[in-house]
Amino acid sequence: MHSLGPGADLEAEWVAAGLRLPDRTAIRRYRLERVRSQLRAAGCDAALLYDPMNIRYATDTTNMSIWTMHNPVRYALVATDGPVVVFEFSKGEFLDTHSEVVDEIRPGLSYTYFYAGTRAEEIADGWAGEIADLLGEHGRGDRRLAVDRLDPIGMRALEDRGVVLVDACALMEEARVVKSSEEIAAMRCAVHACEAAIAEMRAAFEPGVTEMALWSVLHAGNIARYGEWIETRLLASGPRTNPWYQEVSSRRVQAGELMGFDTDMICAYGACVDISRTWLCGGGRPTPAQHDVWSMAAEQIERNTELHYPGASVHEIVERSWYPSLDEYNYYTVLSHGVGLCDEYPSVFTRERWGRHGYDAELQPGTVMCVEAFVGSKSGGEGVKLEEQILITETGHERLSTYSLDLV
Amino acid sequence: MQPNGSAGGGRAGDAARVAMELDRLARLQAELVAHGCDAGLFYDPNNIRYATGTSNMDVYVLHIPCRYAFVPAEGTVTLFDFKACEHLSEGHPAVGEVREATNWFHFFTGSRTEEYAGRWAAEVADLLGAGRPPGHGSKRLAVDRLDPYGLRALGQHDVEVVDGGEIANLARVIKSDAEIAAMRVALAACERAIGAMEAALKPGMTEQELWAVMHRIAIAEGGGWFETRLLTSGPRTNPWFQECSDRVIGTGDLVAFDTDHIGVGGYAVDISRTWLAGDARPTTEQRTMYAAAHEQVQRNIEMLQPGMTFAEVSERAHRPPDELHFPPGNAVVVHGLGVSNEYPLVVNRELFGTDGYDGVVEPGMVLCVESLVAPAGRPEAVKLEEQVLITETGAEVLSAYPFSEALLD
Repeated sequence: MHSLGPGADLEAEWVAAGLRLPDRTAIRRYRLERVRSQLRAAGCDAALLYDPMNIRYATDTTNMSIWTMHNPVRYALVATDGPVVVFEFSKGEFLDTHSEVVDEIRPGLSYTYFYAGTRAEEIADGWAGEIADLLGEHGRGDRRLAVDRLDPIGMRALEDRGVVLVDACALMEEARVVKSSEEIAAMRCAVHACEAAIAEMRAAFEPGVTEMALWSVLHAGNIARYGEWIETRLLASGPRTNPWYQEVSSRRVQAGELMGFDTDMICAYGACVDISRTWLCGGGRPTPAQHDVWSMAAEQIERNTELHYPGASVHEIVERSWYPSLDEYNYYTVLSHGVGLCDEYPSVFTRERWGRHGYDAELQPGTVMCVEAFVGSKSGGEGVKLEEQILITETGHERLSTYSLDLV
Repeated sequence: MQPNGSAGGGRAGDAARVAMELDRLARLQAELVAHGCDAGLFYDPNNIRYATGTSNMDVYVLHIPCRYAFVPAEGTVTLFDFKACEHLSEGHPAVGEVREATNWFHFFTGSRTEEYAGRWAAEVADLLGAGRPPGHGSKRLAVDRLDPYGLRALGQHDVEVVDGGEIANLARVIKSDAEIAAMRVALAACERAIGAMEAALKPGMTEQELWAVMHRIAIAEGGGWFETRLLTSGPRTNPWFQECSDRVIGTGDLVAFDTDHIGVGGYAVDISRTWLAGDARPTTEQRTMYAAAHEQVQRNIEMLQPGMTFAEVSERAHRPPDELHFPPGNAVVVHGLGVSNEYPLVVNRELFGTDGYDGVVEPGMVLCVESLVAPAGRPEAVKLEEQVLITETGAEVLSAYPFSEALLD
């Protein structure tokens, strides 16, 4: 009943563009097996998942995803050698019947203050009892449970019942990091939809338009194409482009100014499309200063993209990466990062941050990375944000994003 | 620099916003003191915004806990923000200091998670102990979101952790006049988006095309995000809680939606309307359901008085005739609203004993009054919801968007 899809018109548009529609059953089976194989390797009886991205990954079900990010009322228990149980929000049990990897749907319990008021501990006790019973029934006896998000009340209630808690975030990231060909097929459709919405924003990019009005076009284009939300509000113009991270405002973009944006978009099929572009308002020629920062950002993207191939280590990418001097230019936090259902593992930090923040990993075929650049002078003036989404293949990499990187 | 989270409005608008932000911080600190806490640590971006007025990649932050606010029982906030985001706190005087956040989620830390959690806990413990002589016993810290790594790392220090969700909810529940003024701005903007959506509604368009109109106008008005995707049509309205889809809306279909919008200035707008699509006459069943939902909302708004207990609200709440009401499709009579959906929650009388909790309705609360008429086995449902302010004498309706004349006839 609740099986959501793009609809015939969008499917026809994607097929006409030479794209293949994904086999969603194959995606569900592939993902569940990825999770279980991680659970086996970690010696866990089950994973208890609250993050809606992790629930979507393991079960292909959704319900009020953003709301559940701050109202933890919906969760899934994935047994290593047992059932997948979705604990659904009140009255929503019928929402998950389309997914053949879901074995059982039960009403969820919440001990948050909003739901439980002064009864939090009583409700947490009942909640923990149900989880512990499932572990007793389907586990091997040591009650080792991986959790991706768990507040102190729940943690204490489970530990009181002898449940041993380990971190599910790490193993879910390890599961998610290698995409199947069907997942990539879905992501290609999502990129097509995102770039169609970007083209609509481009058409609305006239001198005098507010940042918010432009941003609204991207939102509408995403929603109308089976997309779900945008994670951030990163669209800024003129002096607001540097330093980066200023959120979209009521400022009007003037002719001759730069405007940069980062899509951070949860698109069709729940795939994240995370690319950035910077455009010159009103056409014409960029000033030398605009051209300088743009060409450095473009060079950073081009040179660092070349370092991404199977077998490359994160440390090696960091060592060999190119970016402008951090003494002279404001920069972006990471050189590249993984992407799938949202920003994912791994993160590639700058050389300057490597010792304090960096960790190593090896790129594998099937991983999708976003290669980043922001360049804005520390002495002021406008900045340029660019970002490309690439697939690590068996032999190198392939760009998934196709929209031009040019300013005009 | 125009502060993040500011809708503009010039110097007078900025002064009012700053006063509101400082007042909210004071409310949060009063609640920390009432719970015997030395400080609070807040990860929920709605709580961070409440305490500081700042926002930064909020939806992302909801699932990637990468920024947090340390709120001492007195004094200004130390905001731990994303790297290179110090400039985002300019114009928000509740923030006394900005530091780079130390996070321990796997995407950032890989194999070094415990090392990071240890570093994070040491810094928090240091802030908690700042200015106090050693040997004065443990410090009490309220935290609204804390995963096992963090709780264990704090356990290495003399820190007692209590639920910050309760404290934040109790601080947020009573709104100042400035907050109500901000909420009215958010409502007006959202209602322009609803109006654009009603004007655009035509048989032949998909649900997601219609929902896109709502996003386009609300975001252009300066709104934030939509918490849910609850817009459905025809047979997808019942049971309720299905998400917006590619279904093509037909003439004579009911179209129902719930805004669940975090609007301009960070204030939530949570209202629901149901419309009739196209140039059609409503069926008797559609009119009957609509009238029942409308009556439920109106009578429950009239019922609300300051001083009532939640148990009384639940017990006395009007509900539609049994054949339209059972089994109840929506368990909620009213719930609170502010910078998001919040305390309190008052459930139906059937559920109050098992799921409910008690409390008192007070002036300054904003409540959403709900109705869902979704008869079992029938093709369609009607969803209505109004946003009201509890005053000294009753309930004032804040939402102004009209009900459907076609369905009320």
